[in-house]
Amino acid sequence: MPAMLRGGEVAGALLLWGAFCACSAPALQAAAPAPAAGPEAEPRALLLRGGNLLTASGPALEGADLLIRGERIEAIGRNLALPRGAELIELGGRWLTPGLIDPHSHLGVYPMPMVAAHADGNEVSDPFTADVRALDSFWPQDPAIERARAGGVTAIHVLPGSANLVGGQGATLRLIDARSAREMEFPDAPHSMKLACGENPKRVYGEGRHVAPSSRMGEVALLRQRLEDARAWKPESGKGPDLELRALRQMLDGELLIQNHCYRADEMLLRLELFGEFDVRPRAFHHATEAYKIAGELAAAGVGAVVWADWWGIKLELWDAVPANAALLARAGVRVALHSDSPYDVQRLNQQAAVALAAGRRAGLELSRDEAIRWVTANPAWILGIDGEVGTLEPGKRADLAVWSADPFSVYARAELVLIDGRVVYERRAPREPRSDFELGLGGEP
Amino acid sequence: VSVWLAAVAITGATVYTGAAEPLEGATVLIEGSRVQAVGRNLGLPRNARVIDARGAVVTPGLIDAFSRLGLEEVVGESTSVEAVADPLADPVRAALRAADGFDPLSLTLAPARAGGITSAAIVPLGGLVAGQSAWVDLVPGEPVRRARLALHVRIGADAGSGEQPARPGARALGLSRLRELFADARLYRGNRGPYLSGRLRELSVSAADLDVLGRALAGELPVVFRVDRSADILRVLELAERERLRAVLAGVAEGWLVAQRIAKAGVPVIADALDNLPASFDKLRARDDNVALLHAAGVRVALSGLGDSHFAPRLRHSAGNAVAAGMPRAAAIAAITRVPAQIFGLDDAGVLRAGAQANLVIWNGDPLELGTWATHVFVRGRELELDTRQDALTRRYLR
Repeated sequence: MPAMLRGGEVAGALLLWGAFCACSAPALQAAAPAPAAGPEAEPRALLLRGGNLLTASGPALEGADLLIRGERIEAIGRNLALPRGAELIELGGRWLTPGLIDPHSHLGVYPMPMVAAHADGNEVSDPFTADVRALDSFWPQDPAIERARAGGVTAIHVLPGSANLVGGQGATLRLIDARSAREMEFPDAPHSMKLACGENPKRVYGEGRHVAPSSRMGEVALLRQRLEDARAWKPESGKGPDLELRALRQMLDGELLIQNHCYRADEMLLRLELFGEFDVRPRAFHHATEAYKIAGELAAAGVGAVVWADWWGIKLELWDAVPANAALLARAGVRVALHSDSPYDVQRLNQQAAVALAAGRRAGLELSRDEAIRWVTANPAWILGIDGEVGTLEPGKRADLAVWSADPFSVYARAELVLIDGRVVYERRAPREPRSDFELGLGGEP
Repeated sequence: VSVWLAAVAITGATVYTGAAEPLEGATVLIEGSRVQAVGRNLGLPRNARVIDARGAVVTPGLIDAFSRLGLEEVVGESTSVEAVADPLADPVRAALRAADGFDPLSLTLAPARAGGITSAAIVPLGGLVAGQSAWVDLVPGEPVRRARLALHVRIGADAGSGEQPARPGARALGLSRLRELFADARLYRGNRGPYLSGRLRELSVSAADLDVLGRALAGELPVVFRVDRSADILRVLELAERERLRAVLAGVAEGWLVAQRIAKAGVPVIADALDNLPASFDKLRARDDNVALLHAAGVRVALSGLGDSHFAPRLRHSAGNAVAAGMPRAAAIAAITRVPAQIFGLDDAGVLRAGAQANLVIWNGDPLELGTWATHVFVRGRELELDTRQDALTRRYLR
């Protein structure tokens, strides 16, 4: 495999990757030309030259270039001119994709190690906690974050867990090094409201505590009452602001995207009916195991489906999971995204797409890789309301992308370079050092 | 009653036999439940069924060395989960046999088979000494090939409960209790008569458990230690050497830190190639290339998802990921075929050569890849149906 070339145009010559740099990641900065003085200076430019681009917006482009200026993609095409002063990375036929997006993550709220002190993903004190926010639990030192980034993931939607009927608010975070979740927030991304139906709330409350809800019908009745309360709620009423009801009201007013954890087809259909009573609809059903059974209804309602490629059977509402779920949904025109819900699987979202694609093909569905790459890029971007900013390789989009050592649908492919807002945030060939404070000094380094 | 099976010739394939390099354009000849021959330019018996496998790949049937296949249907429903002892009430259950809980009709089996798995070591869980695993071939009829395969021991912070928080001090408690158990078993082994006539001191577990522990001491039964922390691995190696056990290590998330010691002890490991997170205080130093480093140090490595029966079909992909993390391709394939068979002393499994059990898979491409699948699976010479309940559901809603 040819060494990836990188370097600056300053000396008029390419510098060999690593030839000058024994420094730590991100090494790219070392080769950057000195910034020009003055506010009128052009933002820095970076040309990625000679790659195969899975754009997620159309057919793959082979032997193409991608020019980044500042935080955004400026141009895509063959034989793009190298702007004066721009940095250059020779892709040497490597694959380039949009940065992968996980629309359902508990990174940071259930961080490593998984001990009681770190269990911050569920506020298990009431089945309604619309006022809590996942970003207030999020620990940016979770060692799982850097491993997700090494898997080509640039953004995640962090959600509270599913113990509660209304679990609280989710936020979309960029996987950059930061001291708080606030610093990681994706600019202007809408927040979401996490709801859950099915086994989890009734197990936690009914079975675990002998309080409501203890059944699926109890879950729906409680939620309907609470939504009625929220609809009737007025800011000036009562003894003071009720933050919980106010948040639910914001959800009903469309200020928060509804992300509803729901496995079974029957429950999803009834949930659509319930939301219809309040003139809202969910942005997407998550863990939508049986979505393939109601693909037409979901497509007609414009509701997304967030699914796994191959999870099944670990709980009863996962019993009817099929690996062709994503493929069946795509065929029906549903906006389908793959999610991890796992600090392990988030490291291989590209492999999940490959497995789901293969399952569709094995079932006889004709699907392209150009479609399947959307399951981990453009479609989750839409589900999170950031599709105007990321999710495809198109001029004007933020330069969040991953360079792969091989075809990203191959098990042997690894992200070699990951960029967020045009800056290198991960470089495989850089010396290995933990990025989280937690792992520093553990003696785990080679 | 024996069923006569016609000869089957699989021709023109790339065949992974168990040697380092595959044979190109080779034929595998199956007669009955055994492989008759593997090679190029073989003469085919008259009336043999011929499968033209040009462009395809043939491997031995894959083996999951640490599996819960057939022992659980829905993990979250306790009434469908078998061979799990209560870690506190029943921490020592050497006499338990996972084979007693195995259901050959379990729905977990078909997806595993479609994923190329033809055999598994199915393991009991729970407590310090969970019981004995079994070797099963994923075939209808009489799937259990060996009902007393190995003894399973857990050393770790969770004390075999599989849950956090752990019981404080579980590692030292577990090791001291193990020494006590083996001392009792040794005493019992030499004094069965006095024990039965009540002339021996009281022993800490039942005679049934002592019998099994005694078989482990005699080297008749391998002992699989589920252990992750590097310090615990060293303590287990010491114990295994002192008691002269046929030890196997499973888990070993921190194994790379003590890889030379494991190699020197000649102890094989069963590890999860994807176990790269510091998920507990037992594996704070988990890393991506653990299995590659263990292999490089000379340790015999088998790969397994370590008990996720619903994710068993991922086994071959985990081997592909091990390759991407630096494990040589031949070693990764051996880690899901030949090595697990050798670990448990079943030398006619996991390989394709004359006389081997005819467990094999025909793939429509690289078996470790994500976009390929098994087109034919043979177990004990029988071609098995690859259709799963998931396939049936898919067809129903594909209309």
